[in-house]
Amino acid sequence: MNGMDRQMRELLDAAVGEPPHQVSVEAVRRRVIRRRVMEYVATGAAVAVTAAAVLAGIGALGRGPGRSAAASTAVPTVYVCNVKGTVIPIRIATNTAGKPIRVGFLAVTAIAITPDEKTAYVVEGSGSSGTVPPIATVIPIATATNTAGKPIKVGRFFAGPIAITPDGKTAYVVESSGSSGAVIPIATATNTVGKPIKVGRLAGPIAITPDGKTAYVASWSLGTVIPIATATNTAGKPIKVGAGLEFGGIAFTPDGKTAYVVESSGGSGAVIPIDTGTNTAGKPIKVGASAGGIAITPDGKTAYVGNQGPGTVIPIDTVTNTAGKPIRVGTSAGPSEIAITPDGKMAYVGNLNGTVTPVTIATNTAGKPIKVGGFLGVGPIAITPDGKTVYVASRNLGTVIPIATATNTAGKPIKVGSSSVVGDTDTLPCMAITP
Amino acid sequence: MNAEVEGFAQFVEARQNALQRTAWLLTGDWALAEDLVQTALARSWPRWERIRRRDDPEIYVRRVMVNTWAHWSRRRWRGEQPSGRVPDGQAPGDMAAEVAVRMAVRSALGSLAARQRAVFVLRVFDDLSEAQVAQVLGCAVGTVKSTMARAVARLREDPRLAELLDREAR
Repeated sequence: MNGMDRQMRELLDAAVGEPPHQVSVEAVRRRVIRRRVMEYVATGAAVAVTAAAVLAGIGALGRGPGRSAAASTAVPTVYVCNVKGTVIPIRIATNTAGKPIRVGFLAVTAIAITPDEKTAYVVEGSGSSGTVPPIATVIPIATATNTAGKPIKVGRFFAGPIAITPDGKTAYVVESSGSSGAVIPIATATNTVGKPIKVGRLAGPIAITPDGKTAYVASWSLGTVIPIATATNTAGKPIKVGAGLEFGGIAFTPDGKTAYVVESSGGSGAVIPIDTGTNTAGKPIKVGASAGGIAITPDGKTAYVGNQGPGTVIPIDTVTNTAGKPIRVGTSAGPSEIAITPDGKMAYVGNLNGTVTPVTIATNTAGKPIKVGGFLGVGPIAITPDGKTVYVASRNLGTVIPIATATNTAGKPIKVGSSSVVGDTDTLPCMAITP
Repeated sequence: MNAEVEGFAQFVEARQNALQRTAWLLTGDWALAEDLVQTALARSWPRWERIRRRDDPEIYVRRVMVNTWAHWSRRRWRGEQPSGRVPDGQAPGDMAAEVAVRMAVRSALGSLAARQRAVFVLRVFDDLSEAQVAQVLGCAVGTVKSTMARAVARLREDPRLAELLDREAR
């Protein structure tokens, strides 16, 4: 800073003074709700339910049954969640967005599709203590008709993420209302909730072993990962993995023998391997601060972890549990999401600077970044089962961009939300693809 | 309370004064500044889970704030009258001098174009680097440099501000 700037700075300092009032979180929260309700009232006319009914807590948001309508086979679809309470189906064959399916109007937080691809379960996770009765629900969407079923109440306040057992019989939803967190099992046959499984407050990501026997859920407040036996829906002894400030993700090796948990508390990120046979944590593998998403190759040999700080992806050898040479994929706006193609040849890394970097797994080298746009960075990434297309959400542009894996080029963006002023744009928090 | 809400509350508590000060320099009015900060926070909150994972969530909130303000300032009803009743010359006494500084700065900032004002305030007052300002405004670093140069040149022409700077330099 030069002399002129410094003088200016002093002048500005002298001119500003102290703010006369403090801003309360409650006031901000009221604004959020007011905005959402106004938007809902403005756009909700097409939905066969009035805003007043929603405000009264009568959750009959959808119009058709959730499961019984699933007679015909669903077309291959990407379901993209818009945080403002809709799910947009994108037909993979044509890359066209269908009519948004309204599931609520506060915040969609998570989505999972049953292995038989008949139902997509969407978590409408954010209630509020303001004017709207706080309620968190899971809405089943029949993929054959793309209609929302009756909402299933899972909590008072916040819910998400969600995971479904490989046999498709149970969906587990993490609920973290109030002072205690729980995992709520939903029987998908009847769409009814079972007894909540207590896991400690501020529960984080959840993942189910490939054999479907155990669900692992991270608890932020305790710094533990809790195994839940899916046969009995009971929580086992918590496994201590760190200080417990933040968890990036949980991934399993294909044989299900090891779970890798990303933990990034207090500026030092690590990946902790958990032996699923004994439920004991191994030595933490240091990967640097701001560790984020994790993905494991189909052959189970390598786990890739994104580190947002320096903008690298770190390969972890799953045999020796050691971190390899970091692969540089971006600048300071580093990787936030990772997905690996089914053939295990490429990893696609979404960066916060709005690009996607293809990484060749055989050589651990990064290719040319593919620009998808957006200041808020790249949202969820999903790869089609045939591995031909990578779908990437651009957070603040309200679009989903298909990337052809054969050429690594971005196709025409598919509009799924608005993108007026930056602060006003839709976020696309989650995405799922029919298996 | 959810971790997300807790983190958000902490952020609001820790940073609201700084945000409000920046907002005052942008709007020149405390009531509007408060409104601007609240609006920016309300727009950031629904995606806080994502924002807080960034290296610096404040940059994002500031970006929302600056954009919101730019949006407002394009509207007629927010029409600002920067040089309404600025006192002539320097009045005696500390209180009056303080007011004079406030009015002079406000009127000088009011003479800048919206983008120049944003660049100047973020760069000089909030002490953001050129790269950070570029990130906040979503433009190139070169644009920040040239906009900053134009803003400073313009402020140099402001007689009242020049007088104040002169006095401080002595």
